Amino acid sequence: MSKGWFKVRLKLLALILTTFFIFSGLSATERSITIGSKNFGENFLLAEILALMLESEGLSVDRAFGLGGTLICYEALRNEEIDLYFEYTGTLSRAVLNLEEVVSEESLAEQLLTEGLFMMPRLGFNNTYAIAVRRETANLLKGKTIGALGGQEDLKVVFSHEFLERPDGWNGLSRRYGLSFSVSGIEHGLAYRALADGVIDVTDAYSTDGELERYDLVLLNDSLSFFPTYFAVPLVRASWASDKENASILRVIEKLSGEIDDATMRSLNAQVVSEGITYQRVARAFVLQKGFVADGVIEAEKESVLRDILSDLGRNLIRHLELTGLALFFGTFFGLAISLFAYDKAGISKIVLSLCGLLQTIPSLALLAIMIPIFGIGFLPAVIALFLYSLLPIVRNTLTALTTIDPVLISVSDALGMTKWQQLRLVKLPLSAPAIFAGIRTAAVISIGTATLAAFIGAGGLGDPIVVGLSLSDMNLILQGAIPAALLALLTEYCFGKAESAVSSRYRKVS
Amino acid sequence: MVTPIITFTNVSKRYGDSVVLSEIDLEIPNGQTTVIVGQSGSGKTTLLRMVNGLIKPDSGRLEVFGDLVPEDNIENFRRKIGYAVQGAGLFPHVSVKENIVLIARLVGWSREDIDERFEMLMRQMELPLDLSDRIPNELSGGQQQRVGLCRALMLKPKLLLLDEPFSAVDPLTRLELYEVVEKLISNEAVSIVMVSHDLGEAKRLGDRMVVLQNGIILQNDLISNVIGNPATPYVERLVQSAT
Repeated sequence: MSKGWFKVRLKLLALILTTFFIFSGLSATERSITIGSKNFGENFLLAEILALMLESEGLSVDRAFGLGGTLICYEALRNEEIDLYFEYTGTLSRAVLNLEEVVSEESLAEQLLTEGLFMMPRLGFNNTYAIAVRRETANLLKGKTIGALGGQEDLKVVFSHEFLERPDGWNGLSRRYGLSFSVSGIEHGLAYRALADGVIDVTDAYSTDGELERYDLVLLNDSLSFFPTYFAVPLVRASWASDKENASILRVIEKLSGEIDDATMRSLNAQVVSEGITYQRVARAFVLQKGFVADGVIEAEKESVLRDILSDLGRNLIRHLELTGLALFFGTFFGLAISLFAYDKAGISKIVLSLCGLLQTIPSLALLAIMIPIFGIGFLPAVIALFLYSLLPIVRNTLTALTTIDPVLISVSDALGMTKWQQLRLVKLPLSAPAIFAGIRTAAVISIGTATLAAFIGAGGLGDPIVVGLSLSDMNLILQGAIPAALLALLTEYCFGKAESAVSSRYRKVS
Repeated sequence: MVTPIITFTNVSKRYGDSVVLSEIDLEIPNGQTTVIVGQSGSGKTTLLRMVNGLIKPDSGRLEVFGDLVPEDNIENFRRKIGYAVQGAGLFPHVSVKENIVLIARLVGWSREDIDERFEMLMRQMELPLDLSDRIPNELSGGQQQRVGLCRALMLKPKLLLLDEPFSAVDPLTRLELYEVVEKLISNEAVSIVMVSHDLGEAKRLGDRMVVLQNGIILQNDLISNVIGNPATPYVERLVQSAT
């Protein structure tokens, strides 16, 4: 490597490290609560409502919204990365505690306590699975019950893929009610539209989905109580709840208890999905209307949407560059170190290559999830996951290049009397440089793409608007992340291409 | 006979089951050009590459410059021996000049000494100085081979090993190369050991000839004696094939 390139790298590292420390310094405020949310609209809304209530009490709130699902939120809570998120009782008993039987809320709360978690009183609504039909179909059915579907063989019954698979889905439901339809599968996001347009007649729904209101759909009565209840509850750590310092916070949270019923939640959700109002705005209107927050206490609507978008973009872009820059830096450093250590030991190179290959086969989201118990959520685990991903292309290219150098050149440099180190520095590395560079380039582009997933574990970056946008079906938001990420990948590809040819053209100069 | 610069005593080498060199006893005299001749697989290249320690003997004793080929610090030992190979083996990523002077810079020669020696070698090999900044790919095969010779001679070695350096170029270029090597032999005080499968080449450039077959030395003598008095029918056939 030339001195110039080394200097550039040093500067880049310094830049990345400084921004990293500035950012990590900023997030360390004295008294604050971190609220997490899952990656779907309703959970965003609930988290934002509580955040606004707490902020109006003068507390500082860190929003770790859009974390990638139940497992990630749950682990993040247990690992003290977040202090609270909204969970559903059915999910807690089925997916988290893996209980076979439906248990009472008291017994659920007890079992959670043994896990060190404290389940707070429910908000009111029950977001359970339900069976949805158009209003005119409902009118044909006696008592508007699920059982009444029995006689209606000409209805087109189509369910989401997940509902067809789950034991508490169609399998159990059809047995309980003795229904026999020939059913097929559909993507959940498309089902409502298909139902409303009359393409299908019956589908599964979540009982508080905003689309139910938007398309004037009716939920059939579960008269045999087949579906478990999914009451939304605030979930915190028991130790956090028993801390006297947090007593005032708990009182604010308890204000929400019983305040949001099915219809209210459905209408709040509908404002986001059908009227295109941001969840922040819907949450603000709700807390004001409920009197949880006095008017004028919380920040007024920001005026310039464009300025907002640009400042978000800037923040996300910088975070994205930090994530990929650090991962790539360490990936390059350790990738080269590992390769240089292993290249002349055939057995070890093989093991190294298979290990790196193995890492690559772990799905990105799974790798991020695995990181949580070890490193928590946020920046660090994301950088580590990206670092692990960047290893394979760098190590593979470096090892291949170093081991496939023309043997004549090796024996000539031996014969000239070069030491092993001189040979590596003056012959092997320069000859491998284009391949090594190509490896780093691949790693960079992979990192930029994969880093968008880091938003699922609260690491921010350009994935942030994508994750939120996906949750809220907001194409504008998705594009605000996806377009810059794609441009960044292209730009990186271009810059590396330029740098690569600069490295190769050094072959022509004399020293 | 002159003092030997290289002495093989009972040296053997095998790769797996195949014996490449079998109990070789050989003295190579100082100040002369010795050509090792034999078909491919005769062990001639192995013999040559043992001299600068690229290949280690399995058994036997090999002395160069009166001492055993060292185990430690072999780099220093190798720097006293020039080495040029078929196809030149130039480093493709650096210039002609860098190829030639690299090793001198590594051992700490001054810039002036380097430049002086470099220019002298270029002249001797009849290479124009404006090739200095070119990369090897931009040179003809013959030019590359000359650069390879310059590189081998940079540190003023007392011993030069040539591994079929003329076999990858066309006949006309080969004749030109013979001329520069002849000049080199008369200008530089260097002993040469050259591997060749071309008896004509041996006759033109060499003083002595060693004929190898299947890892065994058939004859080791002045070239005129080998030609006039072949030791075995194989050597005789070899001699006849070249005339």
